Amino acid sequence: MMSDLSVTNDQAFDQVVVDRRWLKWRWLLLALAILCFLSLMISIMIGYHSIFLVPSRIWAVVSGDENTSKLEKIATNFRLSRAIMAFMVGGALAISGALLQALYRNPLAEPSLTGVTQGATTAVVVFAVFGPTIPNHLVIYSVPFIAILGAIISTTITWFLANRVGKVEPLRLILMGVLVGGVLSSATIVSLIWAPDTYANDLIAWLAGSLAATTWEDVRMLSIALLILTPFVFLSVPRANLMQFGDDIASGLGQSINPGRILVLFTACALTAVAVATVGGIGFVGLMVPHSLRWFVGGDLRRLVPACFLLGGALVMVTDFIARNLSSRILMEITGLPMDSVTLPVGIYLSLLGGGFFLFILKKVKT
Amino acid sequence: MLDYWTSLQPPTRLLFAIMLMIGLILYIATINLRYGEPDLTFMQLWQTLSVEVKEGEDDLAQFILFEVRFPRVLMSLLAGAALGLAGVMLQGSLRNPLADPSLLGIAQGASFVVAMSIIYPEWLPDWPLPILCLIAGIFTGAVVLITCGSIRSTIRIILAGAIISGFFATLSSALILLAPYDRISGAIGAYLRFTAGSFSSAYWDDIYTTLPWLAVGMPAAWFCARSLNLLQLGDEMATGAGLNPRKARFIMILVALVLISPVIATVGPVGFIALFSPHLSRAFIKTGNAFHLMLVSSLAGSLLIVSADVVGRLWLYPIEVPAGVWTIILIGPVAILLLSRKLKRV
Repeated sequence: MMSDLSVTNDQAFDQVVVDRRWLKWRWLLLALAILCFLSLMISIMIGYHSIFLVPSRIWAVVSGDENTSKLEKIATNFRLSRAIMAFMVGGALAISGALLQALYRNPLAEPSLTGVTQGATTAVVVFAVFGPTIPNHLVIYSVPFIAILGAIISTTITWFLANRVGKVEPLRLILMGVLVGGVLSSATIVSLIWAPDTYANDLIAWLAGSLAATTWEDVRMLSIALLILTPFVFLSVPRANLMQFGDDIASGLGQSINPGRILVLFTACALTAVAVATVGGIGFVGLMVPHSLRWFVGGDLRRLVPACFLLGGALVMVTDFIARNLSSRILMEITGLPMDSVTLPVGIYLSLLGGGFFLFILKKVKT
Repeated sequence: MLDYWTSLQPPTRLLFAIMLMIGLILYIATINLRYGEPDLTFMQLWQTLSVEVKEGEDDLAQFILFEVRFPRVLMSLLAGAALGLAGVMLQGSLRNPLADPSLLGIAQGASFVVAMSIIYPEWLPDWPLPILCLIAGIFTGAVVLITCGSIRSTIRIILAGAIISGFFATLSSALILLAPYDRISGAIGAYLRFTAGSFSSAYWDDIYTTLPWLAVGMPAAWFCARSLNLLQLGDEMATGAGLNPRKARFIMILVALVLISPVIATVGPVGFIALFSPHLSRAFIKTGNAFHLMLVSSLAGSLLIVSADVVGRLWLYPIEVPAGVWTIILIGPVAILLLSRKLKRV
């Protein structure tokens, strides 16, 4: 009788703890959603040429009111498509990072550090420079497939190089990923030598991760791709969740290891590859976002993944907002040097930020 | 065969290895001198080389040989020797089989300075490029070592180096994107070639820039060999033998940077040479003796680069591929494979 009671007490206690976590998570999710909405509004309201749009005008354009000027329409369209794109890319990359970290049981795993991003970009550039010419309207839909293929190939290579002793150690995997990524990005730069000079400039900007050329067609492509990948994410999350505990426990809890692993790997690679295919090599989102969120919501992927989607989206959206508005005119005034009047791609800001973040957490990882 | 080779005395192996490498280098350098536009026969090459250059004489073959191909071959030999030697120094002093200028971020730091000097020369002090590269290299190396705290963890250092090299590569591409069109027009291709490491624009000037640095760096490296041998025994043993490991390390890294900087400033970082040639020579002469390793590794570096340059120049003729591209594409995967095996227990 006593023991029964204590068990129920324990269970009740567990229930309360778990509920509290989920409750906290709900509040966090709400806060993140508000953050996303605010950053979306700001990115649409403020932009180049000092065209300031108040929310009522934005609503007028979006709802198809006839009573709007051409300028307002263009500005809203341009900024809205770009912000949505940034949001989806950031969300996809952050989820991919969270899945990779669970899969490799490695807090440093990140698409751009495990060879996923480089595989995708290399495949796309090599195909663009040497591949057969494909009709213009098909390019946008064929690039993601090439990117996914490249990402999967290079991830597999990295995995096999790191997996020589039957066990994959955290830093070793990242080392091999960085080395494979290094060779691949040299191969990318090399193939640029064969590209004509103007084309090379575009590809360099794309490689750095730029949202500047976003069109509604890109948005449509990426949202279709993400919709297709959503069931994969839903299937991956419980499997990846068990993988965090290691192979023994995962198989003990009734999971077959290899099919689950392949599914999670494919989902992570595909999420990164479709994002890379549209905007180029944006790195470190998958490292920074899950890391900072794990501090709030813990390691459970059921809570982590939705939060990652929102925070990753917000991060890229805000960074892109800064990148878009910090024109070279400001840099020119600071440095006093002549510069082309351009804005730098968002990927440059993110990789400078993420590099610092990586060095900061590198010290804390135990070998 | 292998048993017989290992049964030989180390000096015999060294002598044989040196002779073999010099023979191969001479053979490949001759190929590099002979072929191209125009092709020369061996006799023509010999005659052109042995006849004094006469003033005012308009001999195309002679001009090309002396002004284009000869400095190019010489530069590739010098660069290879410097990088091979620097690789031995870096790997020995950091006790890290992966130490390499491009993996430690030194190469990208220096490349960033080179990009700055092309696009915004007014922002840099008016010093020779190798000195600027040296300063950038010292700065990058210091940042890597400070972020890691110690040199104990092989992989951690390389990861910090890789991230810092990514950092500088990002800054370089930001620079290229920001550059006004009149300063960069036509230079993108040249810069891309440079970042890969190319000998297509190596002339006598570059050799005159490089030589004084190597004249200082190579003897200095030779004097470090004893300390390098001691460091292999571990810091405690080295201290027991009367060496200050910290100071020795600092000096050795500095010497390695002195060897690397002029090469990066003139032809660019030729990838994986400094990583691969020490491993190649260690596997070949089967010794850890730094004196032997230094000799063979610098020859191996020269051999690798001159072969890569021949391949880059003649294989896809008339398209010329930078030598550094072939070293990265051909040596890179092999090096990674070997290292992943070697790092089993790290």
